[in-house]
Amino acid sequence: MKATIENLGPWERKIAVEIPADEVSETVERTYRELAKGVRVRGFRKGKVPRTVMTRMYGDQVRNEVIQALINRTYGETLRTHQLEPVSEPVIEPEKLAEGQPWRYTARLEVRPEVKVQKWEKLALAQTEAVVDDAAVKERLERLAGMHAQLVVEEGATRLARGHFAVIDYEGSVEGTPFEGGAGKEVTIEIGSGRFIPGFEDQLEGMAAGEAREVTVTFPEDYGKSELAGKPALFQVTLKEIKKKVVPAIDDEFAKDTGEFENLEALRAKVSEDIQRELDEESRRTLREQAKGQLVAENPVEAPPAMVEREFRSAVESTRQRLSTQGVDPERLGLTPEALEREWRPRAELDVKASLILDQIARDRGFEVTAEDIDAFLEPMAREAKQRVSTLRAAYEERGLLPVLERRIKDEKALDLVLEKATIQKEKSASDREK
Amino acid sequence: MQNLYEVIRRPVVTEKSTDLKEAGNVIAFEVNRRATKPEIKAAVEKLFKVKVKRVRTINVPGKHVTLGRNRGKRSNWKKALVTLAQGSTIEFFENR
Repeated sequence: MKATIENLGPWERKIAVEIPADEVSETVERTYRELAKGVRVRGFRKGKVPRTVMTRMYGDQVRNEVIQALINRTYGETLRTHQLEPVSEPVIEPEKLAEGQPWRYTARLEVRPEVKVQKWEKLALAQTEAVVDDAAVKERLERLAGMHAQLVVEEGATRLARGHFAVIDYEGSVEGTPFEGGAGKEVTIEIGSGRFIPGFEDQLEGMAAGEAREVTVTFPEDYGKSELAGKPALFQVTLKEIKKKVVPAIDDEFAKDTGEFENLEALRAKVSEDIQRELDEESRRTLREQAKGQLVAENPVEAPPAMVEREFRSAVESTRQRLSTQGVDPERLGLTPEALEREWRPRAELDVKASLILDQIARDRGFEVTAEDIDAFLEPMAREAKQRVSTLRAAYEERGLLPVLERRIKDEKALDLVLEKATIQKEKSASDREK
Repeated sequence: MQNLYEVIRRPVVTEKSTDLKEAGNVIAFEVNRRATKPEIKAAVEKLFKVKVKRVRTINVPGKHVTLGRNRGKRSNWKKALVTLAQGSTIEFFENR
């Protein structure tokens, strides 16, 4: 076997392989012998079908099998002997196979480009050291109180106004006939929330409990049900009760109600701690992103398109899945295919480049990933999923994802090292950006 | 026989016929039972554009067969062994 490698670019290679005539013949011969054992042809006993007849009947099939076999045998070997690390599936172009002739094929593939790490030590990074301030704690407490708010019936002669919650019975009709979904009993709506048909909530304002009113609205043109869109509708509404949202006061009582807290001070401490942890995590992540960005800026690398494509797809796919479990349509968040292409692809490219550089750093240092590393990496995930580390590891192993995991861990280790060697400028910052 | 196209029915491809072909450039056909040797020779020469050296024929009696409760007999047929002149070949019987 003769193989020549042609460099078509930093990450693209063309392999030309030539297989000598006798090796081709031998493989063809063996394939026919294998095939002869099994085929049944009328007029011949099993296993006694002569080559000439088989060639006529199975020639194409045998040729394809031989091509497959030869490629399988030689492709991997070529990669090994020339130390190529493919990152894409090869595009193989086989020549026509003729018995007694040497046979050639070419394969184009993308390989891991050579990375020259020029600068990775002494990066100048800036880290914000966030400090929790009282305002953030207060805001968080208020939000918590808001979640514990209760609707309380307003007694007396209150008139319905914005901010109130109205409990109503209603019956709607279009052109004199009731329509599906147009009636409801004891429905609570927030006046001013705008969740109902435009104009509906406004027309209820000023009503007193027990009062009935007729409300005329027009369905918007872009209403979900096309048969109702743009039509005027008449609603008979009876106001049963007026409710008001009562937010609990933030005091020791509230602290006890929310859970296992002694008093307000304990709750405040917990909230403050939570915010601090979130901020620390955020700052840690930004720092790492910053380091990656600098590595890519300082060390020119070319990212093979196949890797970028894979990274891009997996990012899009995982986000799509996360959103769909939450029942959110990605398009509504502005994540249209075009937007993803525009914004996420460069991001994927950066990640691939950073990963290539980090991988090279890890190689230069001879990093190894041990079983303990894997377990340590999976530990937090296992805790979150309430599973054992060993179960999780087995799941990864089963799906053949361990090598992927190992690479991730290696990258992380390399990034840790980069950060260790970098000079990090710490900046204090208040937590008021937290929203 | 008026029409030479009615003479030859189909080639016979079996272990035995393959051996014959390899041993002495003899090819086998199933032919019309009423066809004669000169007619077979003419038909093969005309249809395949080859030179025929010799024709031998065999009347093959049909086999008695039983299918479930039905007994029957396959039709008798005539086999022709055609020896081609040296250098003549018929594409169908060759390796591609």
